[in-house]
Amino acid sequence: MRVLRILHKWLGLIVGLQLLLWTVSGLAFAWLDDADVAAERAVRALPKRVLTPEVRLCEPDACLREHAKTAILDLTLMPLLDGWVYRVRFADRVVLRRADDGSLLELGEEHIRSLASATYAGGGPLKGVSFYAAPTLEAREAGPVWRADFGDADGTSLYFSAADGRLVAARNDTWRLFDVFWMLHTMDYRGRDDFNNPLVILVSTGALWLAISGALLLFRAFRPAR
Amino acid sequence: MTPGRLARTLHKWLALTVGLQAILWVVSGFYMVVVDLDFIHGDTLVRNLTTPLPQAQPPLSFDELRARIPGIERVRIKGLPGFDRPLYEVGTARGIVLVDAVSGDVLSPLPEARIAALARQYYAGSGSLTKIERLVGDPPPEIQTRVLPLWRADFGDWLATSLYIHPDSGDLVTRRHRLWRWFDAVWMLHIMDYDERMDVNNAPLRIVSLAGLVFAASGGWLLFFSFRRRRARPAG
Repeated sequence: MRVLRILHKWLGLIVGLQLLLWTVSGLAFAWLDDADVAAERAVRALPKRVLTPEVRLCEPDACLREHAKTAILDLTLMPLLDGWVYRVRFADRVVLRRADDGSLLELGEEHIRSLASATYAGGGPLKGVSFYAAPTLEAREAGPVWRADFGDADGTSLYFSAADGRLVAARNDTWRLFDVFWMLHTMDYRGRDDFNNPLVILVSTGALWLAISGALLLFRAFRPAR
Repeated sequence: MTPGRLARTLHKWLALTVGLQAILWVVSGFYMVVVDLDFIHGDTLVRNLTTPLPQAQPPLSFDELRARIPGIERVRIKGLPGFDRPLYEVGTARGIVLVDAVSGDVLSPLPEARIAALARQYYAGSGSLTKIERLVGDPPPEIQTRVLPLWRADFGDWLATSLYIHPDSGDLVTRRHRLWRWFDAVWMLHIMDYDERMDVNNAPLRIVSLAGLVFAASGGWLLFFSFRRRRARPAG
């Protein structure tokens, strides 16, 4: 019993601060509304469009001739903004081509502005868009992205892939707060998402022994005093 | 009651009331951090997730495809393991139609033998296919968020791997295995949502995590007194 008590006390001292951080951040996860964190109400699904006979199409065989065919993983004809595009996927990148003439389509600020306005379901104005070539903490590892910021009370930002314009992340101030707690919970102070890192394994091993010794001590604590 | 006494009483009674959940948090958290997440996702159990586009004669034109299938929302040209021709995966409001891009034949829904062959191509482990089943309604909890119908292919390995394959596109939709199922179970214990295993804002979790914070804080508070007393003891 004495050994257990000493173990419990010293483990409490060593892992106690992190244990407190786990309970504080866990409490935050439980109380921060999940739909707010996911910025669900700021995003709407783009309306589906049907390929009518009027849509002018360049046959993929004819208009993708400049790509070595063997390098293509797959090819998708899909609507984007007012037109239709071919999304061409390679092992290392994705490119868009206009479906009517096969010309390369590189998304610019105007495309992103239109996409952002069409996707956003909130009430604020579009404040601006900016391009990020390197991974950011908010978009994580989504590759090069465009960020669209909206002037609403939630500080909503929508992130679009620079390669094909798909929505890769929806963030707001609730998410930003959540993400700080998430970092404290996973103990991954760099990328925040790796909860298999050596530090968190070490500390949770300590916490496991703290819990086991505490459970054993509990029997003693409730024994009638002699 | 002295502050030390109060902290001890608080810690003791909270241990009795929320201690079990605290142990579950620590044990489930421990499982989640020590088992590699990529393994949980089954990344090491599958292969052939993309098949390079097969080279074939000029395929069926998009114009013909458009004339044959009404209401096209998107078309993907892709390969699948075991098919030597490119395929059109046509998305419509009614679902997916898979078309042989050379002959124009409609291939979906894929027959059972084809699904079994695909399952073996996707599977990177060493067990053999033991059971294949088309799930129509009442999805098992491990794929509750997915749209049915789906084929489930079970393999006889130590992980009891299951691959879920789309009946029309032939794509591997998801995979499950023993360590994933354990992860899901400990996740349920961690977030205290015993039905859907998804709601992190449920009332029991909100209440018990509040008590958990007081439990941990009272333990921290108690540390001051327990270390102080130990120092005081030899002197007294």
